[in-house]
Amino acid sequence: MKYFIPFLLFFSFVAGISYADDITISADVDKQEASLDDQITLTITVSGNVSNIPQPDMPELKGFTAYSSGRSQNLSIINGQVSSSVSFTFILVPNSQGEYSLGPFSINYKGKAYSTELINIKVLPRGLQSSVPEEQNTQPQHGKELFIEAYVNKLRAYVNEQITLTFAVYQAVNLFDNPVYNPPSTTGFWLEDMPPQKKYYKVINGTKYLVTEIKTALFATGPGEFTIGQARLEAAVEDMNRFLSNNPFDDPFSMFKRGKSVILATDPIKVEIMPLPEQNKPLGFKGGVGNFDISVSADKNTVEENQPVSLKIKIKGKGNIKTVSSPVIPDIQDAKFYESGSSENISKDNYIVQGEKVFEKVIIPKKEGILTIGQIEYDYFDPVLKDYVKKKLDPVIISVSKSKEEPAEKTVSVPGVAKEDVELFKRDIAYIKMFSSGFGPRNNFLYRNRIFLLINILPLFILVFLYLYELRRAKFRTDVGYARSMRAKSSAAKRLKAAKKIMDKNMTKEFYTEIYKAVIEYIADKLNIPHPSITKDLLEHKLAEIEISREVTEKVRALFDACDMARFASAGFTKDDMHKTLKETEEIITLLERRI
Amino acid sequence: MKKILVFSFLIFFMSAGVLIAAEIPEELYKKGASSYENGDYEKAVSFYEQLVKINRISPEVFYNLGNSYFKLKKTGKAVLNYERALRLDPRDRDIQLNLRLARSMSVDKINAPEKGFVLAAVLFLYDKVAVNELTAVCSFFYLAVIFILIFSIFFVAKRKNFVYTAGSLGVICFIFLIFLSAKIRDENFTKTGIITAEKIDVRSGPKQDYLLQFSLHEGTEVRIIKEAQEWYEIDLSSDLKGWIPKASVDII
Repeated sequence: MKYFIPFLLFFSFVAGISYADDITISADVDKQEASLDDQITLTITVSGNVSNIPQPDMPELKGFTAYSSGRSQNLSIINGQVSSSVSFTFILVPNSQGEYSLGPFSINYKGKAYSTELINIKVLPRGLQSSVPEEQNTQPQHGKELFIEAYVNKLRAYVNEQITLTFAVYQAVNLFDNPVYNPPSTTGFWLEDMPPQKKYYKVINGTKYLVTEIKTALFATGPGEFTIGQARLEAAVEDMNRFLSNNPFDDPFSMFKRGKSVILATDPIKVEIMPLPEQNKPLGFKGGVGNFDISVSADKNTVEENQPVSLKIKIKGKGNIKTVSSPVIPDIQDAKFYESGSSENISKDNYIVQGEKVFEKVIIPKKEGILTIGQIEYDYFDPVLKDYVKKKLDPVIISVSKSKEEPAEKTVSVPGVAKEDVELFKRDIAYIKMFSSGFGPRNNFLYRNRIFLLINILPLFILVFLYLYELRRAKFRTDVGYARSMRAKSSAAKRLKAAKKIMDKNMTKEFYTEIYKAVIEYIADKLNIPHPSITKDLLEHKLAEIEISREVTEKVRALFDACDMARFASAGFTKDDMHKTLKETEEIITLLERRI
Repeated sequence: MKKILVFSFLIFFMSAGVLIAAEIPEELYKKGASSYENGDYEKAVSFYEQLVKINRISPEVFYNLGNSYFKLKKTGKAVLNYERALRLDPRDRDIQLNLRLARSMSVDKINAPEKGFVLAAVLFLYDKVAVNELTAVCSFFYLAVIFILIFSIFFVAKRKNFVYTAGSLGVICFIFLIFLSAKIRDENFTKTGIITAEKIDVRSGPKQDYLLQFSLHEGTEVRIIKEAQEWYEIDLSSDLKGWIPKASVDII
């Protein structure tokens, strides 16, 4: 019946505009007698020379369940005359035996009503073949190419015990499209689908069938007798008659046409649900049926007071996990207790509903000491043992230490409590600073500070000075000529100083010897000539070589001559002469110092 | 050793000098703070401005001055003084926060150019160090190089090691020097100003009768390129240029 609604909607649109004229409506069935496990095809044809066919009114079809099987439209325009006909096909599945009349089916068009005749149908009991021979039988009987089957694994069960309903499709032909499975009505049960569909081949009476099984777990919610209703399958099978038609020109497109629609239904199943026994029923029993195991764990064994401990109680096993409720935790003194939620994990291995459910609790100890949680118990009913089972857990012991912080009534963050963002009401600037680090002038830059600059530059000068000094020392060490040349003036000055002393003592000869030595050694040092080999002539020669002006050379020669003379005839030289010579010598050395 | 003694003596001397002069600034600072506490922001501003006038400043002075201006809703002046404070103490959280807040109050939205990753990393270091700190770091490395070289003169046998060490330290010093010179150039030779007038017209030339190009509002940061009489030529990071009267902008 549910397919009529879209139908009606569609026609209410189409029927919007239409031209009055001849409209005829007729209804037809493929057979007038059918058994309970048979089906009837009903065709309603509306035709007229209008383009929009009005909607047919469908009365309620008593004793049948109707499925739409499609519509076909035929439209022709001849000499401007539009004639069209629409056929609606329905599959009717009888629900109970008896005699029924279908219709009348009617349309209302421009105030005029058109209706069909009544159609009488006789529904026979199950298994009886209708008197009219069938062109094709699609009954769920072995030996056919398509049939279905529904069965349960037990017909007697306890409340909340798993009953597995299996719906099987046996097919030996190809189906057009995917068949549509209408699950049975299961009032009074808690449903749990159990995918995947199981597919396998099975040979029955020599015919190989592809079997598709759909399993559903049912848990009765209360005791009593329950009926699992009809499960139905809508499928389209190849229409063998048409396919085997003698004349291929009859319908050359039969291969490509949609197959014949078939509706299959299973028998209802009666199940007896027994109440759980009252005998031995524990006080803490909360309705768990199956076979369970229980365990408990705490995330830590030692904790500060006012700090949360998370406790996990896990119930694991076979049964309706979703209906498992939390075991009772005995009252705990000196601790606060929060439910923090539960999680479940269900699997359906071997088509048995099983899994685990974890209950999380948060415990906040309020006092230091030993906190004992327990004993936690869980009661369930085992349908195999047909008795109640009590599982007991060892108590959980948590040692609580003194809080390092001040306890009091501070808020404790409990896991699972949503954190909130800091709510900003209004932004304001940070407060002023009450103390200043000191007061200095603006632009008090280090790089402009003279002392800072001095501190930085001074080491550089020290470095340069030390470097040059070291360089000089190194040259003295390695370069003899250089060293002599550098020492020349100072040794000459020494000799002159000695000469002066001698002069004061009036020792003429010695004085001139000293002067001579001073000059000759000075020049030798400067020019790096070995001492022993020094002669007056050689010196003069060398001096000429380094292009000393004639004047200077002459002066040097005159001095040497004077010295020679004084050494051999010292009597003629007075103190004044010595003074003069000393002065001359100093002059010469200064002159030479400049030149060499 | 002697040098260190001399140096510390000098520092002591300098700080002693500052202490003597600090009596009056300390007084003014306290008065400013108490005026601020009492909600008399105008008075607080006058005390702090006096400190700036007698050239006795500190990051805290600029910061408190910025706060006082902020409370008086003078965003431009607030930004200006926070910027000044930040230059002296670039890592102070309070200054950073308040500057950001003050900037967010300014009307003009000028998009700073996007910085690349490397540049951002380099600039992070650059932005978080004050000129004097950078100068000290440079000086430290420089002096280290010098002293190692001096040692190398006397320890002939290990001269090579000394010179290598000095060389690598020298490279570090050089990198910091680049930073330092960039920072000095940015802060002391490039003039950056904050618009302190509530709204200012930016003209195409340094005269009132030049074409009005666009307007700027209080708190916007501008770069000053040129000046002519009573006008500054400014440049905005978004390729906008123009002239504004000197009175409408304060240089950081």
